[in-house]
Amino acid sequence: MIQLRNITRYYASGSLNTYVLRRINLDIREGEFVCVMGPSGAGKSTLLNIIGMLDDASEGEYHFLDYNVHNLKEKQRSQLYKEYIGFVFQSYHLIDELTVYENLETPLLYKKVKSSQRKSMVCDTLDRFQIVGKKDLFPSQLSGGQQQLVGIARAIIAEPKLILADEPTGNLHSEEGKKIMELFTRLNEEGVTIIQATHSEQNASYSKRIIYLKDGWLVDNL
Amino acid sequence: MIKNYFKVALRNLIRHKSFSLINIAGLAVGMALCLMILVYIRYELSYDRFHKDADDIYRVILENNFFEHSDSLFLNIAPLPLAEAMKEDFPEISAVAQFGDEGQSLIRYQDKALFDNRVFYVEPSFFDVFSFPFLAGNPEVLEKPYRAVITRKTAQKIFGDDNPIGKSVRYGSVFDLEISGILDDIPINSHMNFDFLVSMETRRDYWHENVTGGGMISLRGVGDWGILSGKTYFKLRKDCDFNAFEKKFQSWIDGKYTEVKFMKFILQPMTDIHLQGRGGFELENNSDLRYVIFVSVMALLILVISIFNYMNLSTARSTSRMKEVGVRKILGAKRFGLIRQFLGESIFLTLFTLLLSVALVELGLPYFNDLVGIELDFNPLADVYQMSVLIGLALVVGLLAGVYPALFISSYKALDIMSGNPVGVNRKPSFFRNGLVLSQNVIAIGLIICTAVVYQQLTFIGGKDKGYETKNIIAVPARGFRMSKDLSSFTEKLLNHPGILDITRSLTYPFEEGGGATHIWYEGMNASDPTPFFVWTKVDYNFLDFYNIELLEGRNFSRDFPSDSKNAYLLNEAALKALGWETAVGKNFGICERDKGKVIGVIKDFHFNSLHESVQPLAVKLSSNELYSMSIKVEPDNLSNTLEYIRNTWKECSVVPFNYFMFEDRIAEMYRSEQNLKTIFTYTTIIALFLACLGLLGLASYTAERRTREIGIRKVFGATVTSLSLMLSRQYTKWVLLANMVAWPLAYYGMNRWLETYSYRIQLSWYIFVLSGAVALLIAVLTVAFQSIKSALTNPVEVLRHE
Ligand SMILES: Nc1ncnc2c1ncn2[C@@H]1O[C@H](COP(=O)(O)OP(=O)(O)O)[C@@H](O)[C@H]1O
Ligand SMILES: [Mg+2]
Repeated sequence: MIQLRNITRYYASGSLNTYVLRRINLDIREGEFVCVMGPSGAGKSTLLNIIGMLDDASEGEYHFLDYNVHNLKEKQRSQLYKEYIGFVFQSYHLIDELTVYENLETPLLYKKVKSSQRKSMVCDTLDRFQIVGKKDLFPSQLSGGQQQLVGIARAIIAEPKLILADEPTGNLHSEEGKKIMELFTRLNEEGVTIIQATHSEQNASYSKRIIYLKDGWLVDNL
Repeated sequence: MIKNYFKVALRNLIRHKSFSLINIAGLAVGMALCLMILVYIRYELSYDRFHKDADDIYRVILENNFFEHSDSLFLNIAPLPLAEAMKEDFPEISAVAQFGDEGQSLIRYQDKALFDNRVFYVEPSFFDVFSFPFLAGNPEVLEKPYRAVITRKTAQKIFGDDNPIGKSVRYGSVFDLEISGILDDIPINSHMNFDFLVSMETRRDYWHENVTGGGMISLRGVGDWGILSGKTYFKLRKDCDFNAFEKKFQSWIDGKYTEVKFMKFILQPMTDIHLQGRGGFELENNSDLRYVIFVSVMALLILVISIFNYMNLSTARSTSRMKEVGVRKILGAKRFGLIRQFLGESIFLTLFTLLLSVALVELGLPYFNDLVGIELDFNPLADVYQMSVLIGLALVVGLLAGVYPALFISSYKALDIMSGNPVGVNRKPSFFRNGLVLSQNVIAIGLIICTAVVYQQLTFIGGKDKGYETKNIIAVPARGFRMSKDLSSFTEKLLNHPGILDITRSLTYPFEEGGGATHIWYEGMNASDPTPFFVWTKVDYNFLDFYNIELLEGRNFSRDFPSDSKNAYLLNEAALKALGWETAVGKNFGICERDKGKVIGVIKDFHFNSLHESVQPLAVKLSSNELYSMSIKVEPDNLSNTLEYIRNTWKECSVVPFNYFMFEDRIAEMYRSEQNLKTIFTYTTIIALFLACLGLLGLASYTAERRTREIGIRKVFGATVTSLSLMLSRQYTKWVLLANMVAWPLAYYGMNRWLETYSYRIQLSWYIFVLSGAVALLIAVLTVAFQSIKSALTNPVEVLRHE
């Protein structure tokens, strides 16, 4: 599903280039549950952003499904990730002015899903995440764990093939974190490919494959 | 999707309540003021448009270029045979109306005697040119002598509910008129106003002469064409090109009117009269195009300020919606969709604001009308024009105000927004915002300066020593005494009253123009030379003393010189200049050859016409009759008692009803458009300042809100309230200071240009500039300081706990 070849990412700072990712080679097949680990500043987020097509690699090739992402234009890329990828963020990134229901509905609006179908999709998702009772609340009225639940629900509502989760439990206490991990496991069992970045060993234990990043190098591919 | 946008927009508004309130209130006030001014401008431009084919109607006026060195003088009067000749010689003309304005005349009906009837002598063709609809009768009734047509209001005033048709009224004490028609009331936006239209045949029959009535001037040696009398208006055929016609007319008139070279004929479109008509023999005090332009510019500036405000605040606020934009982008929003969302939001908000501003106009218009002394109405629902202006305005404002935030906020990459505080995200708008704050303050400061200058200039004109006393004078038009002894007993009785200090009489009041003399006679003149145009009047012995008019040379009229009552003249300074005389006393002079006499004194120029124009040559004669204008100087205390006494005394002596006005009020009336301008300017500037402050307040509160954390931390580390307030205020006061640098030269240039249009003007003084800048700065500092202190005072623990 994903092939990274010699992916390098650096930032120009003065005359020097600061390397964040160095010649990363990585293959991920459909249905995998991958965990990216490493200390803070190792480049985990950068890697996820490149995979999620929010960021460009400075060098190297990136193949996603049948597409050569490194050759695609911005527009085609956003078309691609809108279709196949869902994002989950450490700080949830829900729209504060929208209720849970409306937050879930928004990606469907951008995908131009018809109203009746949209309604049933949102209701199904609310059901599945057991947050029907919260559907009219605003994000600020939810706990962190509940907000992240909504964040994940929003990420999967449009039925993506790949979920990218950047420290999804970073702001949660361990009990809440465990729940989220169990949810990911279930989703993975249903066939969704998941890549999560974390530095918690406990979270990592849920995934089938762990990769380590250190100073931009892929250290060990277990 | 719209619903989704709408919900976010609305909840955002509610979440930032005070911010939204400032934003919306500012725009509403700005739009309301702009709307009001638009209504006013439309009213000014609507003059005389109610006539059918208004654009094809013109009048003939004369430009007197006798004084080559000074401004030319316009006379709204035309040669007597002109109307007839034009009708005959120009197939392009479909109708000509020649009429005479008799001014206010006494009309009596049964036991009623009413003075304030404006009478025109007209031909039936009056109605071929003008559209004043008949409620009863038709134009033909004016073919016969002793017939009159009156307006509905006049009918009501004289006859109450009775049918006036066929009834007879007495004109002065001269002849009877049969009321033969009723006209609908004249719209207020008409440059001509009358109560009675009397058939021209009446005049011809009674006076056995062929002039039109009203003012008359006869020029030396040009026969019938030298008699200037009445107004001449005409209507061109639809298919006729005015410019071509004008050329043809000029060469035609050159053939007709060969002798007097300093009179130039001008064809003026009727719709220009209200804003550009000025000079002698105008039908009404007209307004001034300059004022309309002025006010339009003000409206525009206010709108600009409020739009800038709105843009500024919206842009500031939009940065707090970065996260939403980032999320939307990741969820698949395209740039265009985001632009549409933010523009739509802005337009929706301005449409909503529009409703508010319409309500404000509805509330405010009565006050505005009161201030300006006119009757504007505002009824957008019934008026397609107003409606479309409104909606157009809201769309334009919404678009202008929304376009920047929309473009700027949609331009960031999702990743840049999501990854916290990327480079550049906050820089760009603050540069833009500061630019807006700068221009706003430039406008506000510029307006303060302009208001100060305009105020000074108009006060200068209004209060400028007109050269005569204006205070505590009651003016009583003194007509209707059967015998001259009635008049003298009236004055005697008045002078017995302790509240009455002095009385004088004259042919005209000092603010009136009096008669015109186009063929004066003077010592050493060359009979073939044209003579300067003089204005003349007749006065009583004590006129100069009463009105405090300064005598520069020679002496006043005096009973010690019996010859004064025959042929003695006082001339003003302008007269000396026109004649090229160094001194005048002892020289021979006459307002016509028949009236030859000696000049006994020279008086200081006083302004018998408006201060827009320079003073014309004036000759003053002593007389004992025709002194219809009585002036009574009174003690200011107990005015109503004195007035009651005058009224009662009048009743004993005169047969006509008592009529009076306060001299000062009439003068004020003459400067009403200046007064209006002053009022509009002052209020507009206050509002502009208010808006600019609102903008600063909004920005300051926004900054403070964004920096609460920083403020909290600084306080924990020992920053004082003062130092924090200073830190927060400095950022804005800097822009106000800079705005001064920009506003001063602009205002200086503009005001100099404006002042040049006045013959009498003030000097621009530097302190106005400094003071205006200081006022703006002070207000800005107070506004920002208020907000800054408020945020500097918040408890840091409180703030940081929420983080
Ligand atoms: N826009 C940027 N410009 C310069 N350096 C950056 C930028 N974004 C991230 N970095 C740097 O890249 C490195 C890796 O960041 P990141 O991928 O967020 O690490 P992680 O998620 O593993 O903590 C960090 O050292 C960070 O400072
Ligand atoms: Mg990270």
